[in-house]
Amino acid sequence: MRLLTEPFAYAFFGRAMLAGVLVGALCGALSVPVVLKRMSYVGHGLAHSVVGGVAIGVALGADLYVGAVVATVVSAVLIDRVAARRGLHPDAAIGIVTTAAFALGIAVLAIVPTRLNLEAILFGNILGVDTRDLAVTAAVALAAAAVLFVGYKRLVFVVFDPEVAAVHGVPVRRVELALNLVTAAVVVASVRVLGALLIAAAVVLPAAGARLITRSFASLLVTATGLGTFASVVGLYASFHLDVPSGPAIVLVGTLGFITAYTVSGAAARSARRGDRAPERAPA
Amino acid sequence: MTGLPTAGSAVTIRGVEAAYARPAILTAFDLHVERGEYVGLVGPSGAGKTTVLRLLTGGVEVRRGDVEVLGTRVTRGRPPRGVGYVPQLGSVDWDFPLTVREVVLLGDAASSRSVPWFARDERRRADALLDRLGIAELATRSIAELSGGQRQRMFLARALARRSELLLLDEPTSGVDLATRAEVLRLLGEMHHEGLTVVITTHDLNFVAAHLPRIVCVNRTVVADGSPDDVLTEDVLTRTYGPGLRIVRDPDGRPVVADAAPIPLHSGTDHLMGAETAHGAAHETAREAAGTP
Repeated sequence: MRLLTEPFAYAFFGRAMLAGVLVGALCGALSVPVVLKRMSYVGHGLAHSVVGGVAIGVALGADLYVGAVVATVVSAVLIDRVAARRGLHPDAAIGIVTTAAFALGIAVLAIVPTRLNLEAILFGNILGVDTRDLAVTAAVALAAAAVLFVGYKRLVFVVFDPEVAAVHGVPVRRVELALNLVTAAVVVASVRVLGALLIAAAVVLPAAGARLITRSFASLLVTATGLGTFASVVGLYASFHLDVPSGPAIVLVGTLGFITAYTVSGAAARSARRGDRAPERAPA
Repeated sequence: MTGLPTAGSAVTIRGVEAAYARPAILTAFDLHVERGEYVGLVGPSGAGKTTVLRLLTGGVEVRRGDVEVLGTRVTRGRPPRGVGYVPQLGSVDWDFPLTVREVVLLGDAASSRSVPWFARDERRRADALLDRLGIAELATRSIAELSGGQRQRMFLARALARRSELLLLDEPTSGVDLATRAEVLRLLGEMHHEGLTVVITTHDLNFVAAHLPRIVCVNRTVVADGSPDDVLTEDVLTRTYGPGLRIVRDPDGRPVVADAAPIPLHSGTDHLMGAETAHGAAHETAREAAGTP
């Protein structure tokens, strides 16, 4: 019990835990469309552009979040535009746009000396979570929840079958743009806790694990959100007690969750095969 | 599906040139479909059959001419109301975590309230459609568990969920067995009799010859348009597919498309002669129509 309560003697841990719960839930929910749309690379790419944006922003004397927001929003819109061009898929668009932003940021840091703690930006640091970070994370969580609530049905349709969704009157391009913008906002809000380089895993692991043990979209969304939150909470405790950066700790807990789901679903499938209990297909 | 308008134009395509990229897929394309008609578009792979359907749903750029569907001018990115679309079965990920009822409900998602759940009357309507299509017992099943015919019926239910007046189907008889094909045809026939306008694309010449009142042969433009008796001639088939197809008559006098030169069976190259080719398809369906194995 002491292991659970002791960290809260420090004010920063309470803030970090609150931010961690929000970030974990956000990344968990976001991981569902990212995995189902096979856009796992999007988190990886946008996180790279965050590093570039933060570096350029700080070098220009601007606020850390200003650089991050500008970089990710511009990247999200550019990805959307480049991927819409016939013959180019989202992975190529992400690879081009975001690695260019990352490279630009690193080049700027090499030229302009700043006090930016690059390691904390790359790997996360719970000591760095202040009330402003918490407010930013809460605002993003609220906005993402509102978008998901209002656009849930249309988002599911677009992720499942964009061609028919468009014919049936769903504004596919607007839904995809909204998804990209939410992804960018979640990436920005997650930088302090997860670190830019590990956000990619956080927006894949929860849905990848939940996908193995759920059958409907709604249960997948709830389970992935739960898994993301669980990984954040346990990961932050591990970060505190083992003195490791918060990002790697959270991602390792998420990976354990995925391995557990993988093992459980594999065992269930083997058991079903052995007992020949697989559901028979009804005649057409 | 009662109370649908029975007169007037459902589809009007005038002098259209349409393209995805630089070379045009369709040129000088004209087609008129009245409300309540049942029309089959046939033609070789790459002839532009699916593009015609996309033309009607705002999915392709119109460079020249105009398209009107159910009284609304269609432009790229602006699909008309009242159109239900059934894509090819291979167009989606069948491992996607959705139940059959959820897929049908999505069909009317655009006009549903902006909340994550569907209203009771929407669920009731989806269940009625599933019942109508004979798959009510599958409502809570995962779509991954469905057979080809069940998937086709689920997609039909989704298309109807939008209160469609015009149903567009892309290759509804491909990739399903003979019994399923007959069932899909029966359902489409019923919907047509209830007043829906139905336009399908297919490679299956003998199916359209036997079941549809009107055939449009497409090869980048309209090669021929009319009843099976008028359209299924060796001259039209040659202009649509190239040489190699001939017409024979079944015992009822209906035209049956066959290969001019039979394809040798049990040869080492059988696997290369899939039903995707016009000749392969015609040969296969001609054998089915004649009742030979």
